[in-house]
Amino acid sequence: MNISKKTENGTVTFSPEGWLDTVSSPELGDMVDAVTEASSLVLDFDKVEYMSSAGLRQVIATHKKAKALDASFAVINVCPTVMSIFKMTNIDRKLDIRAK
Amino acid sequence: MAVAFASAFFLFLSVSFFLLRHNVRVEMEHYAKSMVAIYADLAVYKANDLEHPIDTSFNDVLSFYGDYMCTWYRVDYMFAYVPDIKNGTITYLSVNWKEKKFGETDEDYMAGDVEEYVLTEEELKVWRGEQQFSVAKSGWFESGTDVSMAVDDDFGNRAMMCITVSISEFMNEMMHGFLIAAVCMSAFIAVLALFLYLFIRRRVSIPAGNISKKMGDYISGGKLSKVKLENANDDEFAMIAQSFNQMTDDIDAYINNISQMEKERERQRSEADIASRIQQGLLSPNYAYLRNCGIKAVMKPAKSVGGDLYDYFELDESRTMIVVADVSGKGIAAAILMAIVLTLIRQYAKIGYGPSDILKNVNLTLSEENSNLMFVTAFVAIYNSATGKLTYSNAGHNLPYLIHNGPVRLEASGGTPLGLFADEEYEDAEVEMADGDSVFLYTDGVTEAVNGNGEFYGTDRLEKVLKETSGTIKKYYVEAVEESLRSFAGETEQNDDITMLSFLARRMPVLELDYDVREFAKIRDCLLDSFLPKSLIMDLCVAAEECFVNICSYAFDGPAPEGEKILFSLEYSNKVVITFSDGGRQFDPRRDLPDTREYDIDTAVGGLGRLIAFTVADTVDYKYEEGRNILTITKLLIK
Repeated sequence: MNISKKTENGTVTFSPEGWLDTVSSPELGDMVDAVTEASSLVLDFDKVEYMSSAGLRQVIATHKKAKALDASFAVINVCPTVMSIFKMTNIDRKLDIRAK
Repeated sequence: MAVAFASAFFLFLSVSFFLLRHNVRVEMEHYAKSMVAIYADLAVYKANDLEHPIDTSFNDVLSFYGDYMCTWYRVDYMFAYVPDIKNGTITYLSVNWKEKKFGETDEDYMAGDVEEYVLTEEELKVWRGEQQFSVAKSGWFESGTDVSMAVDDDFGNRAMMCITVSISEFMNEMMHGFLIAAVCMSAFIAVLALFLYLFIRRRVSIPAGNISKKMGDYISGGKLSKVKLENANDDEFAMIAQSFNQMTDDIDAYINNISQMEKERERQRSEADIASRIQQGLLSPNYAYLRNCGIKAVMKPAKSVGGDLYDYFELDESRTMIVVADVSGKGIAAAILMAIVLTLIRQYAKIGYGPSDILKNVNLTLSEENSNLMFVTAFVAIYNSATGKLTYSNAGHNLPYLIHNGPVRLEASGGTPLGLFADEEYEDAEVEMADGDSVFLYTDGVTEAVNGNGEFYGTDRLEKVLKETSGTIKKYYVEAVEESLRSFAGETEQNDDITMLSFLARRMPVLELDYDVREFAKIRDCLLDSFLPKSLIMDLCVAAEECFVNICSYAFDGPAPEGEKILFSLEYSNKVVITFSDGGRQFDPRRDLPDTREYDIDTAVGGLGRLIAFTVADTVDYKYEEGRNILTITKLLIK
């Protein structure tokens, strides 16, 4: 899986591409784990077309990481298919999830 | 109108006046002549009675009668004279005028006065006795007439008698009558004009104004109101009113008619809509992944309903029947026959008939009562995955293509269209199909589709598209031909029903997967390779992944035993059925699902995946059979 990382003014943005499934999701987890300092963590899902609970778990993990770093957290540019997964688990009410 | 009346009246007066004046002048001349003649006769008669010499008595006689005439008759002057032609003078014998009292004299003209006067030509002729009268006209527009005549008495005296009659005398009298007549006439005309005005106002202006206003009311505000003209009179306006009322009645009727028609059309539209949905409902779903094949089909009627049909169903574990048929004609009549044919074919297929027997029996049934001579072309085939053979029979239908590397037409078999000849025989033909081969069935609506230039789509274009598509992995023949037809026809209206069915001979593989989450990629590819819509594939992937990962994680404490596999299968027609079978520990995934309302993302782990799977699927069934967990996920395609 191709995941790009961008740091700007303390905001760290990860932009994964394609399928966030059981096989590919841990990659995102490893990259997020490596962050040591940030005022804000952002997951840009612009190019994510599929997400299973494995991907969802990484989103929650990133949220926990942001909490630990005392940084803000948001998932942006979420497509309808992926949004439905957030909605059916009610995660969209607990985290800052923004639709495309 | 008043001006016109005044002008006409004035013209009438002028003409009358001049005509009158002319008549007066003619009258006057006659009158003057008569008067002078009477004067002369009286004078001569009286003079001849006298015994006195002329120089005194004749003058007196003349003077007496002159007075008499002037007093009692309309004569202005009456005088007599004797001319002296040589010296150019005249000697008055008597001078009388109208207002003169008896015995009164005029200082200017007295009997015996001599005055210079040269007689006119006329007067000379009269004096010489060459003619009786001389007439001279005088004054403004010949307002007076002088008439002279010569008289002789018995004593040999000769005198000129002269009379002047002025027009005013006559005119006054005649004008008096004329004026009375004129005033009466004027009054009459005025009354007539007033009467006419009132008449026209009552019978023309007011009705015309009413009609105009009512006509305005009729279409005021852009909508028609109930307006009726009333007209009791029996005239042209009554006719106009009648015509107008007739017209509004007609328009109201037409509009009512139009809205009735619109309602009727709306009703027909909704009926056609319902009919269309019912017809589409009769057909099997337009895609299916059965145990031994994949099917994709489309039926696009030219009208809301059509006479084309396609059908397919599994006869048993290895045999699947496919049908495409085309009823002659279009619309409701064709649709009814289509429904009959569809039902007959299904019934004959279900009792185990082969393609030719199905056609033969349907033909027989249709031929029995086919007074309208409608007919049906049909192609029926049965694929047997056990033998890899496609058995087919044709009733006058376009022969389908068998597609291996490229499209090849199937060999002809069978007979005439259904419904025409009850004794028609149909034969079966057979062809081998390899795994991955397709058969493309269609109706003539495809090849006879017309573009803006009036060209037919034709078999060349069809074969080209089929050939191109056979090189792709997904082999979406129906979609490819549909797309090609769309770009070919452009804006041109579809004029015949279009039906296609592509049949892919492929046994749905049952995936044998290791207990390793990375094996999910195989499931994903299998789903992506289906004919299903993209959003549905995504949902199915989530459900399948969650279940698969769950099995991988919890089936065994350690690694799975050698040779132990997870079995995955996918089937669908009107619902998608995914089945997982594993030999791990007995576990019903339906138990202990987390409640998202109390789910704390900061503390909880696990269960989310199962929750997602159960939410996405319509039903999840679980059973434990012969040492294996059998998990069945179902998603309905038609809700």
